[in-house]
Amino acid sequence: MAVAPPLIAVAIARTTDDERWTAVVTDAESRDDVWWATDLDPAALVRHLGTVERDRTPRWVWWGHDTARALAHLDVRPMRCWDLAAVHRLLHGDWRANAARVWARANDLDSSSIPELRPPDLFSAADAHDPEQPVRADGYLDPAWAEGGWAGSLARLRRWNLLALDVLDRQMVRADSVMSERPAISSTLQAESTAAMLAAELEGEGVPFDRAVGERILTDLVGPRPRSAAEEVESVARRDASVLRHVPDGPSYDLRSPEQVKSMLRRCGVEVPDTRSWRLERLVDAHPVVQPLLDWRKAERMATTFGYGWIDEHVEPVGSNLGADLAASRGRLRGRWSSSDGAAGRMTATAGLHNMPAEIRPAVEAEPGHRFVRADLGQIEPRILAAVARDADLARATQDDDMYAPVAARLRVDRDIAKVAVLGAMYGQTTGVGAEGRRGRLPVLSARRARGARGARWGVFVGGRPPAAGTGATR
Amino acid sequence: MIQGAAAEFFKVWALLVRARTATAATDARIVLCLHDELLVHAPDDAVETVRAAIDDALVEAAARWSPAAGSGVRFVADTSIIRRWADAK
Repeated sequence: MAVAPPLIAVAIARTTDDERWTAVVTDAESRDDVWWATDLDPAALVRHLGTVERDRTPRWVWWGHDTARALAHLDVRPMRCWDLAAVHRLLHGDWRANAARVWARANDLDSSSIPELRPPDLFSAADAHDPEQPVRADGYLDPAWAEGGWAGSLARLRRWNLLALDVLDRQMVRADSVMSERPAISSTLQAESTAAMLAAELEGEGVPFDRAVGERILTDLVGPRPRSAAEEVESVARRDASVLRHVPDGPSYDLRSPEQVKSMLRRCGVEVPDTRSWRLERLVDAHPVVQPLLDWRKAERMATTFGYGWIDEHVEPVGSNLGADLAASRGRLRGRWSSSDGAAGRMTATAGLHNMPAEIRPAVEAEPGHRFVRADLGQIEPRILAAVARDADLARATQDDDMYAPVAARLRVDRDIAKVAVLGAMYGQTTGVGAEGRRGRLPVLSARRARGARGARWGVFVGGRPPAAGTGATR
Repeated sequence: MIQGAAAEFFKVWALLVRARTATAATDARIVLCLHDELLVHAPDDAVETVRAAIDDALVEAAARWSPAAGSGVRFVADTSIIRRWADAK
């Protein structure tokens, strides 16, 4: 049997802007310092943490994103961790996981009365407590500590680690108590913790992006970069005119208002209940305004969401450590990453990283001497369902490289239709192609098996927020 | 629900790719995690190693993620080595 890795807390803080670091590494079992240092340069800090990683192969314990982000910044890549905030999110379904809330929940304190940081006032002397004490008389964390004061000195980092280990103990007790309902809870908590580390790394890394290519694409789609506010107005007017010139003379229309677009189409003799693009795509032959309107939408989305402003805001120059031979236009596209979106539990990002339109993707280019390895999972939903439902027929069907092609052959339909049929039947569709899929004896679940799958307790975090402890697994 | 389970499986896969590429090629980095897709930025001489690590990680993920372990379910991934993201299908 594998020996559980030792649990080791780490707290690090940058002491000044010139990259001098303070660090404390504390063993969970003995509560003794494994190593500590102040006024370290980054290379020495990385070396010391690397030594602990190599010699002890620990599961690192830290409070949350601050530490993960600092480690990513230093390019320290711990293999295992226990992120108290990530664990808190999962155990308690609380998405606002800051240190004060994590501490309060772990200690069964009412989260609605968490003290806030206030400027000192006339009465502050009355409830003053020793600022070197992180925990107040009422049991809550001192807000000054929780909101960054923990990083103030070596002694404080040491206390912060000890508090982290107290929270760890309480979280582990909580995890044990839900183990009967969610047998895989501890591996799920570990995975969520490491996913939080990966999120911090993705933020630090950024996506290689060629600004010059990006700007060229934008110039083709929305026109040249405006050099003044007046040019910007002109460019917008030009874009709007490409649609409006097809409309018979009369009132002017605001293309950014769906109601006005509807009126405009009516004036052109095109009656629609709404102006959704899929509806308009069927009507391109109805009037010459329709196609330009669809093109306008694409350009407008690029200009407003993924335009020059987007590049300016999110593409940062690459660091000099990546080599001086890089073209000046090379940068990294950066957003904030979250390891779990709170709905299906997917990783999410800001800065449009998750819905970058196909038009702009050529600007995402590997740097010299590098290439991308891209991988995407094939037909992930039916494969996941086969696993979750423990369905032998469906499991057999997953042996195919392409699960939809054999269904298409059997039903004598296109692969795209077969895909809809499989997914429809999977989700219990009783009409249309989904039902047809079932009549065609697809390797999909019967309705009863499907319901069983939905009700299955597989002890892992699925389908959104985990239930509060004691209320049972996801049903 | 299936989407939640899929998100969880994807994460296990991504974390194994992170761990395995760290041991195999120290300069390879995951730069995007997009729904069911991973993008790894790797030095030219490491791309085949990374591709193999990604495939191995998928088999390992199926064995480690408890709902799939022992289910006989096979998972597949399309992998490609590209210079621009737009070069992918």
